[in-house]
Amino acid sequence: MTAPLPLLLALALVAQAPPSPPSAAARQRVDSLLLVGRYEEAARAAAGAGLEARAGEAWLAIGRWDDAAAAFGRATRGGGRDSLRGRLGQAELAALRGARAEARRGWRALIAAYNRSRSLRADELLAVATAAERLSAAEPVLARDALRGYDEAIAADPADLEPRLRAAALLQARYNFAEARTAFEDVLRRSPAHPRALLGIAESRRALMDADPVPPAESALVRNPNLVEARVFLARMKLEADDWAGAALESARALSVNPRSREALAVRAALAVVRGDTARLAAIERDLGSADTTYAEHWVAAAEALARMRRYADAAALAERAVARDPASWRGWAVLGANLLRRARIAAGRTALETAFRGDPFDPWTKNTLDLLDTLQRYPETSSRRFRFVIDAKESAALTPYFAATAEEAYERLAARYGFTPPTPIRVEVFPTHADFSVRTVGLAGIGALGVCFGPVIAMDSPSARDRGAFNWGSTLWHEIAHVFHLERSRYRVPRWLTEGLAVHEERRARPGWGDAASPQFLAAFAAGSLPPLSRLNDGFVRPPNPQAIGFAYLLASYAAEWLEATWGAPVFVRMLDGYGRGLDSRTISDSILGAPLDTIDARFDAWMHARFAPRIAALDDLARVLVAGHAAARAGRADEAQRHFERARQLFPEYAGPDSPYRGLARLSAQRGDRAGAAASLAALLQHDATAYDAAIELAGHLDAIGRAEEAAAAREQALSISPLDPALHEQLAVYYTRAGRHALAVRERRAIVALAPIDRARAWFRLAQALEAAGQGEDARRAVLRSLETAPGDAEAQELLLRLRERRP
Amino acid sequence: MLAQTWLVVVTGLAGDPARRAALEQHAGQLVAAARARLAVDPQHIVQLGEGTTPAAGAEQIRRTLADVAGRAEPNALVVVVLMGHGSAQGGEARFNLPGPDLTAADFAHALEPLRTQEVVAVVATSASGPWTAALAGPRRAVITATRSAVERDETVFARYVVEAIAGEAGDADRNGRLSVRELFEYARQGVDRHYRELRRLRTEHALLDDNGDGHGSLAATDSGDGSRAATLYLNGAPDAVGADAALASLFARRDSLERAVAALRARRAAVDSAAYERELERLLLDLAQLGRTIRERRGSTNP
Repeated sequence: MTAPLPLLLALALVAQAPPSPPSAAARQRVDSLLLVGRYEEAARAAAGAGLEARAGEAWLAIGRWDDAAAAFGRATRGGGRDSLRGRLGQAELAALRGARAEARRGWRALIAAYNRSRSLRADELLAVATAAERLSAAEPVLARDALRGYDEAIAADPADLEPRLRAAALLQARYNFAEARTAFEDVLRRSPAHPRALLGIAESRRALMDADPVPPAESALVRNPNLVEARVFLARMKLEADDWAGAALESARALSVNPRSREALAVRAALAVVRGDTARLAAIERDLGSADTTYAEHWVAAAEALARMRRYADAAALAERAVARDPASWRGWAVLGANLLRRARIAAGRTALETAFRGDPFDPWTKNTLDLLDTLQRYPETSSRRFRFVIDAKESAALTPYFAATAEEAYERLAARYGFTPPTPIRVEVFPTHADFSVRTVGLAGIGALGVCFGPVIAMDSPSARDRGAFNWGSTLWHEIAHVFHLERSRYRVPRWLTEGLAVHEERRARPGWGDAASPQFLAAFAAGSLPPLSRLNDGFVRPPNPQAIGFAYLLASYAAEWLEATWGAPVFVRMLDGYGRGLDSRTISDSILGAPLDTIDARFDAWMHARFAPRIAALDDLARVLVAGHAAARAGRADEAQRHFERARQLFPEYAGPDSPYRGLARLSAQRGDRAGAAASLAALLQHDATAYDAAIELAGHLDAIGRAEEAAAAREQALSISPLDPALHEQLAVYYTRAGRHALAVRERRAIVALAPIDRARAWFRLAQALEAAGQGEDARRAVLRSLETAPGDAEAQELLLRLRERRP
Repeated sequence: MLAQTWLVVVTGLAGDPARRAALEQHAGQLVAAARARLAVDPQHIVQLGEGTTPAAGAEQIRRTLADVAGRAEPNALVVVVLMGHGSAQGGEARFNLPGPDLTAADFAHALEPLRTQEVVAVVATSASGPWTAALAGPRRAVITATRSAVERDETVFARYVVEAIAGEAGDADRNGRLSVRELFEYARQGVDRHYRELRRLRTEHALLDDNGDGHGSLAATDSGDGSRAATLYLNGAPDAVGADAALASLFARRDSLERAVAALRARRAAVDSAAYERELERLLLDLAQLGRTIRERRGSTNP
């Protein structure tokens, strides 16, 4: 659609006449129309008021490039008030058309104009600052000039929100999310419900992962339903949540406003990749390439979307295409590097990240990850049959035997259960500082998870990364290995809810107490109807409304897995994973594999949950009451009364193993009575429901030792090892027990752990290991160990005798 | 070989009864271990504290050290251990005592009479780093619990000094003698482990200065601080040979082999690992055989 001829003629005349300032009212009207997304009206009103550059910007917003070009041309003719902003528009349009050199010339010309001019108006300063921002993509130092330009524009016209919005967006683009949020909030104070400011808040929430980003984006669309960027944002969120239909709808809405929106087309490209629709993909690429043959950001966006869906190999392949097409796509290089690392291609990943960092030194993800790679390079690598362990040198020897045994057992059991063997070796990186694990996972410190699985790579916290008892490394490792099976079996298409639910379910099947159990808080939330139905469970992972919600999502998903197995049998998991692997969505899986539409499945699962937990839900109020009463009675020394309350609490909710659990109360009361067997029974019951209770395991072992139940005591200590294998005293106790019991292989394992923990008395630790090895019939290893002992303590008579004995026996 | 070891243990102002009890317990354990494990003559041990008579005080410390200087053999090893709270005020490092504090300079002055003896000063207090420079000198080894006056938090170093003396593990090379270097290394590593296990930021870093340059080292080495401390033993050799010349010869051969092991260890990085292992095993087998011979000759085949 073009403007009627008379209007164009009139505008031409206006352009040739000496420029007269447009009225403030006209500007305000245009701004109001732009604010609510009435772009075409805004374009015409702007043109009518002589605000040609604004008219061009409005045409750009709806993809009418020719109209925009004409408007910008008129704005620049005659050096009128709008000429600098018009020249900016021309450069922007040139960039969109792929004429990068022309665009750069245009932006540079604006900088030159700024340098020549003694005083510029606010909108001219805005144009100059925007040009500096664009140029900063290749010359990062110009980002500071851009920010200064926006500040000058704000000072020149404090009422104009545009420079404030652009400054905030620049901060966001430069990864300064906290300051960006403050700047967007400032705009919202001046203009409540400003759509672009609300969208900025949504984007900062998504980056900082501190709140649900969707509501502000939806609010933005209430005021401006044509805000393409908000539609694209929602489309990406839906894509991440496996809501393909929703993503398609939102991106279609965006394209209905601006059919040339590259960002919306990028989402469509990602969707086509997700769906394996190569014809559509080719068409989208043709559309994008027709304007700019070097444009590659759609591939980057698609790669990022795929990476968030854990399709790392596909993401790396797309990022590779992006950087091949546009070698200056620094984000493309960063995405490529991150995903190569996730595929265990460490050297290639580093090279890509280094390229990204040279082009964009502001990117904290890339910087952090490169720093981490320097750290990782120093970690020794050790292998078991199917795993490669990359663990800090201080812990490698101490952790690897335990990690290897657990990992191999998990692989074997899960391979039998899922009926296939994922490719090996699987790389397991174990980080002694949580911040390093976090950087490995998301590029920034602050992630709350304990472990993450990328398929061929698992990264997790070391037991030393958190306080003892904060988590159980064994169950975490098992959980992550379960993901390997789900990801590989589904060709990396399993939705988050299913793989997380299955992984927790597999934990529970592996050991008593592994995998969190339903807590009273979870059941209260379920009973109150505040948990999502199964069909929307992915939202709980992808966009949790609060930190607690993600924990509830894990629990609910795990019970969904339990229900699926109870209803259809374990083979249903393989059928579902294979279905996702064939590209089916959850709706189709529900229809074809579970035999009912999603809403029916939702209802059935909800009913099963209510039935399964009915007694616990009914007991919630009583539980809280008797626990409070029990602890109060215990504190007051009314042991019998406390005992009654705790026993009642145990009956009401036997799985409750929180810090105020009845088992702890009962154990204390038994210990106070001198009833070690009773205390042991309560602590053992607690450990059946809480596999992180290190203190309980140690206390239990002490009670059992005292009543001569040494074998059970050793078992309790083994439980403690799966929480923290880094306490030399624990290994010493186990080593002594296994030696006495004649279980020499285990004694050797424990003695090796003590040596690995680098005790102060290394000589003695090596000597004890040599003794254990001798007892286990491993004379050659014993000789080597005793030499290590004597190397430090050559005068140790016992070690000397052992060396001579071993020598005498040597053939 | 040193004929005599003297031990002066001073506990400072505790501040509260619980700390006082802990300090006294550490000091008591140190004295007991010195008697039991190092065979230090009880007449050569002086313990001063808030509860002793005379009580610890700057003047009493000065008098005690002057007295020890008069009574100890010229080449005796005099070990002085200060436990408690240290501070630094106006650039002056202090040991907090009932009455006037003892400054590092006061203490250096008090040590002056011990001109012919070997002095080992263990300042196991907070903010003790500056004592290294103040006490450094010939025939001196100075150990401080912290590397600077800024490390002001209560230290745990003394606990591991006691542990090194009281347990077998302090004698890392198991030659029956506890060297000052072994004492320092044990305590230093004990502190390291303590903070690691508690997952706390380490607030104390011990120093050793045994070459008199006034600059302490965070770890003992063969070429810097530590080389002299390795030759200073807190207890004499357990090898009483009497008139047995053959046994004396065996001891000499054993000492020679031990030196060869130490020399090989020092060259480890420069030697091919297979050759290193071969040579190490050869030396250790010789040493083990010799050890057995010595034990048999002394009438004990039991290790």
